[in-house]
Amino acid sequence: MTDTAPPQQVTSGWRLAVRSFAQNRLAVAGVGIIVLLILFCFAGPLLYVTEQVAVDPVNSLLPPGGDYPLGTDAQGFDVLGRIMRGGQASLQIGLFAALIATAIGTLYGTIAGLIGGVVDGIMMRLVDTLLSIPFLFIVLIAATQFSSTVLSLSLILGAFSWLGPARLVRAEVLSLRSRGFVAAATVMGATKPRIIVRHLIPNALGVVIVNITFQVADAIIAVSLLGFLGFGLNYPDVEWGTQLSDGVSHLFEGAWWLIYPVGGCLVLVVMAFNFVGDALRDSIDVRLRRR
Amino acid sequence: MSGARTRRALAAAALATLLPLAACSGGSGGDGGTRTGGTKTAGTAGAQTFGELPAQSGTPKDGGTVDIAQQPGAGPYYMLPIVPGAFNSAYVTYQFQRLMYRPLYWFPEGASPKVNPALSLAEPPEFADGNKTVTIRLKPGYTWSDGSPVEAGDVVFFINLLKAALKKNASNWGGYTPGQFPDNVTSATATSASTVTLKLKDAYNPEWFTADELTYVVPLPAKKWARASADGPILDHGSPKNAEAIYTYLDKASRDPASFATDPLWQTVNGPYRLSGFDVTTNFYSMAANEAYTGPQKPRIKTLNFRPFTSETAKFNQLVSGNLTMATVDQTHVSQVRQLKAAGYHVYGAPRLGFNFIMLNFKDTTDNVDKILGQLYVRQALQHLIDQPGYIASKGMYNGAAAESYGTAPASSPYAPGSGATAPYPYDPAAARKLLEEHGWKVVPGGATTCERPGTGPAECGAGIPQGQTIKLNLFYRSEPQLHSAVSTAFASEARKLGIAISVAPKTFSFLIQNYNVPAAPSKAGEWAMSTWGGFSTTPYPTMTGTFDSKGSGNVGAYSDPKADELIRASVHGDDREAVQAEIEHLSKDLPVLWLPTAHTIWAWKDTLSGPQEAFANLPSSVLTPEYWYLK
Repeated sequence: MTDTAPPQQVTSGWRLAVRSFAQNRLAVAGVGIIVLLILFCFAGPLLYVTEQVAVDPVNSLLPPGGDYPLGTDAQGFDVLGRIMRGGQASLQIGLFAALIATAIGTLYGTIAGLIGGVVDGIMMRLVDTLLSIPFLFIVLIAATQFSSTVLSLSLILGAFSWLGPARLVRAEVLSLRSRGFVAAATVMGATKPRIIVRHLIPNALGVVIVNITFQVADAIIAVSLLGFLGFGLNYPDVEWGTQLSDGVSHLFEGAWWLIYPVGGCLVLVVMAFNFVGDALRDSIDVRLRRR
Repeated sequence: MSGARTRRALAAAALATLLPLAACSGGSGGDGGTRTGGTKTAGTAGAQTFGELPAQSGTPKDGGTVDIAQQPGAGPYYMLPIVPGAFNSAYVTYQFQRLMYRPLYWFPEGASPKVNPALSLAEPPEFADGNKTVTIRLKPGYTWSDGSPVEAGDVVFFINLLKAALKKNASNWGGYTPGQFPDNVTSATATSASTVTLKLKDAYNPEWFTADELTYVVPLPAKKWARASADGPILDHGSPKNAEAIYTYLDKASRDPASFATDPLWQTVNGPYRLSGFDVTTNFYSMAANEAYTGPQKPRIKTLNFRPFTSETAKFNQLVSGNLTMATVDQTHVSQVRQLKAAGYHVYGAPRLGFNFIMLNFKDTTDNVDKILGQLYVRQALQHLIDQPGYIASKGMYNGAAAESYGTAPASSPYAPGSGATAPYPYDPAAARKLLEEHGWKVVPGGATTCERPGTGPAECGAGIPQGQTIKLNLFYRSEPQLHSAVSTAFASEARKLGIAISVAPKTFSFLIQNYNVPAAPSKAGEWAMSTWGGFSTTPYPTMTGTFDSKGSGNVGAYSDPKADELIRASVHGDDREAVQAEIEHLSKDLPVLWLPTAHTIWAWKDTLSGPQEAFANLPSSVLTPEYWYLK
């Protein structure tokens, strides 16, 4: 007769996080909205084919109906097709900018946090200094210096959005570096780059992933703001901010279809990324996770 | 136009584009255009006016108050009719000063941009000595508000004061062009109380000198103003030293808005109104009828209130609610013209005195742009891609409120040639393609059109254009209003169909005129191929001296054509008063720029206000003649 206890099932932290995430209805709705919008913007044009390069002045500012479910804009472009095209650029810029900002911020924060001392002090004072300059001010100046393309706008936004992630990751690294596994790696002779790449960044990944979602939302808003102020993409490209700006020009003509649909998409996508970000933070942080 | 005058015109154009661009809406505005098969046609596309001028009606009665909306940003104001560049605008000149101080020669005459003999203080000038001597005879009976006559000495006083102002600093007069008035006047002498004789340095075309130079002259009350301090003695303004002291005193007083309405200095006027109130915090000002006015029509309206606004929307809301007697209607509100009419307003518009275009840069060596744009057939092909009637009809562009324009003179100009309304290169993409193919280009619609037959022969691409050359141009448009974006995009879209790559991007107006301007910023000539911002304002005699002549300091795109130079010289220095017609005709076909429609400037006024049609026909020129108005 053996006296062994039945094997206890161990659930991994990631599985718990996924379970917690799946239980958050807003998060699921957020993911659904993001997926639908991505399909709408990238697969939509394959099903709903419209002319988005050659303008049609004769058919400008037509209200929704008939051949144009969401009407036409000032150039005679089909608004539904235009939203799809604009959405492609807005989502691409949002994602690229978020990745760039997160990559720079993660590396910067990790180095500062790990090295510590004077170097950390100098690096973080630089961050504080840059944070004291209004984000929009810097981005607008940079945007006037370059031609507006998806890549250039992503780089500009990414290059000036890494300050937040840098602070977050540094704080996480300060906590991690005092843990035993970092000390063990140091004792075993691991170099600082190896500690950063193999130990610190993977363990700070939760914070990084959560931050990416918020960064995407922020970047989409930022590029829309640039577009609204006239520094967005130029013909034949377009993003949602430029569309909104053009729509406002025709507000008094009652052209509501130039504002509400694209504005709605913008609100939806930003809201969805924030839902997802909130839920991810709750799921990954064990202190916030539902039990 | 030239030099500083071009800069002034640029600034005026900037203000003008804030003003007008009103449009009608077939659907909601109900004023212009018709609908055929669901598509708005050019029913009024290209029409020279927006709506009709109402006939004079009602019984004139004396008294009453008229509330007029100022243009947002119209100030700051300046009193002395020698306006420094920093203060210069159509509003300061035409809607403020000219109500108080009348020019020697008035323009326009109703809707026609020409000298108006009835409202001028002098008889038409007489030219002699091979057009080097000008004799000006003042009309009898004109007096200052203190009863003293407007005399030849007052004209000479203006010229002496102007010379003193310019000697001090060239920026002291916004209308200054080096070499032109008053530099071209050797002497100005009052040969009698009513006669002034000007000796000129060179022979000038009488028509040009009258319409473009003498219209700047504003007689000033020498017997009141020729002093160096408020209580100082009257000085001999013929002495340059005295003239400078007088100018210094008057200039200082002109920069003090708080005393505009109270300083007795400014109460001596010869116009139909005098300033009765000026609020320095808001720029609100009011004018009272000058009971002693001796012009052809005594003012009937007792008070004019010029109300300031910070935005077009605020202005329009006040208009609709009936709190304003008259105001301009900007493009964003034209769809509500029907609403205005229902509220009891007359609405009328016409093109301003000027022309609109896409500027071409003939010095942009990037990717051989200069060589490409230097070819007339390329410019012709590009002009064939501009659908002026379509742009005018489009609700997203001019919305019916613009006139087709293919030259430097509006159709209403007495100098416009008979062919002025005809497009030399009408919208015709097929013709554009044919032109390129006939000159050795392989046209690839949607792709990259390339030169296949380099050389200078008639069927070859042209000098400096190598085999395999593509046509890549950039076009910078003014960021506001949105109309510039729509027009630029439509043009780029048409060009793309012909394999011509035009990249468009917005820039602010000040950036464009400071940087994308070859004479002003030659180092940046390689950065831009084309630009558009709203056009130029022109002078009554619409010669392009300084603007399209090879050495013109205001030749933004560095256009150069020997024949144009010769014709412009004839317009300014020749003896033929109609010389400018040949210049206009040549420029229209040689395409120093690509012609765009000229937007209408639209005004709305209450139907309780009436007067002769001519007194309202001049509104689109931003000129007010309220002495002819009356409340019914």
